[in-house]
Amino acid sequence: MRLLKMEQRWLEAALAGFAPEDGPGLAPRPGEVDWRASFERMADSSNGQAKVGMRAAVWLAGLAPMWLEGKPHTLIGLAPEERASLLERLLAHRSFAVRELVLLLKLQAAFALLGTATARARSGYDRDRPAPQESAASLRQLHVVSESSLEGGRS
Amino acid sequence: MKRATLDEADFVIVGTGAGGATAARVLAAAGHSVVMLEEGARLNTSERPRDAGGALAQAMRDGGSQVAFGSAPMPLLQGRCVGGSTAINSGIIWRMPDDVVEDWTSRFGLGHLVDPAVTDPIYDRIEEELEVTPTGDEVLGGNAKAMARGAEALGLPGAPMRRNAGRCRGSGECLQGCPGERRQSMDVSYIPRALADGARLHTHARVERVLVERGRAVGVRGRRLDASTGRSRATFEVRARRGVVLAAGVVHTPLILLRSHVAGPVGLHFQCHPGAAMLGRFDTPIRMSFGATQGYEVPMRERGYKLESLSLPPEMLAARIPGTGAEWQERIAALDHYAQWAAQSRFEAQGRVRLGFGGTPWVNYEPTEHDIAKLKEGLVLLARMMFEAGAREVYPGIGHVPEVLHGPDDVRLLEAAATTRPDLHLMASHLFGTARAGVDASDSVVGPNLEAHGMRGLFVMDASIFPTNLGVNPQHSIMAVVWRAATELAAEDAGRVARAG
Ligand SMILES: Cc1cc2nc3c(=O)[nH]c(=O)nc-3n(C[C@H](O)[C@H](O)[C@H](O)COP(=O)(O)OP(=O)(O)OC[C@H]3O[C@@H](n4cnc5c(N)ncnc54)[C@H](O)[C@@H]3O)c2cc1C
Repeated sequence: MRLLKMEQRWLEAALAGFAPEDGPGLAPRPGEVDWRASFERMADSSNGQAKVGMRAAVWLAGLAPMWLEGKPHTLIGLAPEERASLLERLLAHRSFAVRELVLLLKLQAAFALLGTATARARSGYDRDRPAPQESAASLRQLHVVSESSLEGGRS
Repeated sequence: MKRATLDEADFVIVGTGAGGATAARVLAAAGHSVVMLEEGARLNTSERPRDAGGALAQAMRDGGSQVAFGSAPMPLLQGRCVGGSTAINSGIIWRMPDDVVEDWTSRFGLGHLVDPAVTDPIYDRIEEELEVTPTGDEVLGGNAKAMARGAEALGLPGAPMRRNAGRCRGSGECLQGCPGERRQSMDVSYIPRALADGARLHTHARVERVLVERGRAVGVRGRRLDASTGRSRATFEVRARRGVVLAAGVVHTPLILLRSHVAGPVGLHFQCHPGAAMLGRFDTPIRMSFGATQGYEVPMRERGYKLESLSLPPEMLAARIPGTGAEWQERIAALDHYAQWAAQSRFEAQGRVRLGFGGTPWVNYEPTEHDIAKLKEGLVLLARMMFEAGAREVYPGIGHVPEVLHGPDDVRLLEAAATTRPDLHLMASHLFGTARAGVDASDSVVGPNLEAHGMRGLFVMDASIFPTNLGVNPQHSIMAVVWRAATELAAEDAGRVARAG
């Protein structure tokens, strides 16, 4: 899914708004998390309806200062902690659709942040993970007669 | 576009999940030539991504974004790869409960298909072949052990799950593909076995319709997909000398039937086991990263729901933790302190699968008030168990209920809340119906031998044929029912050939 430049900036502001760089706890380091790449990967594997929802969520959050608070600017015009509290309000909004779309953005933020190996390492998730950890191994190679990269059998 | 006859065999099987792979295993072992067609890719374990985003994108249908529409959308999780949903599932094994056997026998005339005298040895055989054992204490992990504590404290009938992962090492990566191929999903068990018996497998082959000649199914037609872009490259046909077996799953099998104008209530009676999960934060570490993805369960069958421990990759776990900004960041800096358990319920609601825009599925489903009340009871119980197990905070994730419960007294707030469908974040991974079996041709799509009432030579062998949901995890029942029908088909067909000869 290709986002417009403006949508890209709203997206990054929204996702980074869930976990600002200067926050406490698990804060991303500058440039550590590629918010947009993670979103685009998820969008690419999603169906048409989900893509529409994901784009709608970006617009909803991007323009939230205007429609929710009557302010004359978009999400980009807010300081990081203001973005976080605006997102919190949206997650508690009385409209089911608003809550769900912003939850979708939170899901994206979590996937981008914890999908980054260095951030995951600081989350404690793998702390004291007992040995032995197996490395993924393909023990059985399936013999596939044809994959789409090969031409079909008899014409 | 070019159309090629890709292959030809006695039996063409569409889909390689629990149903399709079992059919292939039985038919190939009986000496029939078998071709398997799978829309998804063959995923070598060593190449499967270990992060949740990559795993969903690669192995799940639409990256997990397919939903059923109702007053709130509900994700329908399905695998789309060799092995189907078994390649991403938790390996939990349950035989079909007796009351379901009785119901199918009396209401749908399916006694022949599910007769325990015949199916019990089949279950035994599958359990032996797929290394089914109860989850060992050494791989239960902190998440399941905490659940066991909660269940014991409340005197609930909990136990370690039986799974098809006898040599499990507790990697907690069922979704990403078991690293040591210990879980016996179809891609590492029945498919290799069928291939060894001479079956052939074509991946990236999306079947669209059944080819019919003189009222008989003689093959399938579909599109070959580009492995990297997923785009359609060319059309193909595969001819079936003796029969076509559809096993594309509950959402996609009916689409193929509808495109092929097969008669009966195709797409109707869609059923499932929707579930919702609850998180608890503990002072002592839980360490969800180690242990069977799902290891402990509390079956509450008579109440209509089942409680299960459910470990998640960190991305999914973090998304479920309340807060934004500093509050969220503080909580997710201690991801080893959370437990997650889920309640799945046997809903009475029935929905429908239709052909939507561009040939994609459109699913409608609306739970009843009774369904919601039943699941809610399970969620209340989960919250109680969490506190009994020592949770400091519980996050119910339910609308109109506080985001954080601070102690057992707060559970009353959850109990008292007037919960409606949009308050719950439901998901379903156990799907049923849409091509149901029965003796009455006006009210079912296939007969007790799983052959379509309206088309000779066309068989449906997946969870679509289930006339009801089960109230337990379905893969074992699917495999057993398919094994039974495929064994008869193999024998009948051999008899027919011998008679003709
Ligand atoms: C995340 C998850 C966890 C689960 N955990 C458990 C568990 O622990 N225990 C349990 O009992 N059950 C579990 N289940 C459910 C269980 O895996 C399914 O009920 C079972 O696999 C369904 O079998 P099936 O043959 O009907 O469909 P599937 O296994 O879904 O297989 C269908 C196959 O058909 C292919 N296909 C679809 N359309 C086409 C087409 N047009 N052309 C060619 N191929 C096509 C799909 O790609 C797929 O490979 C889980 C499911 C999920 C999603």
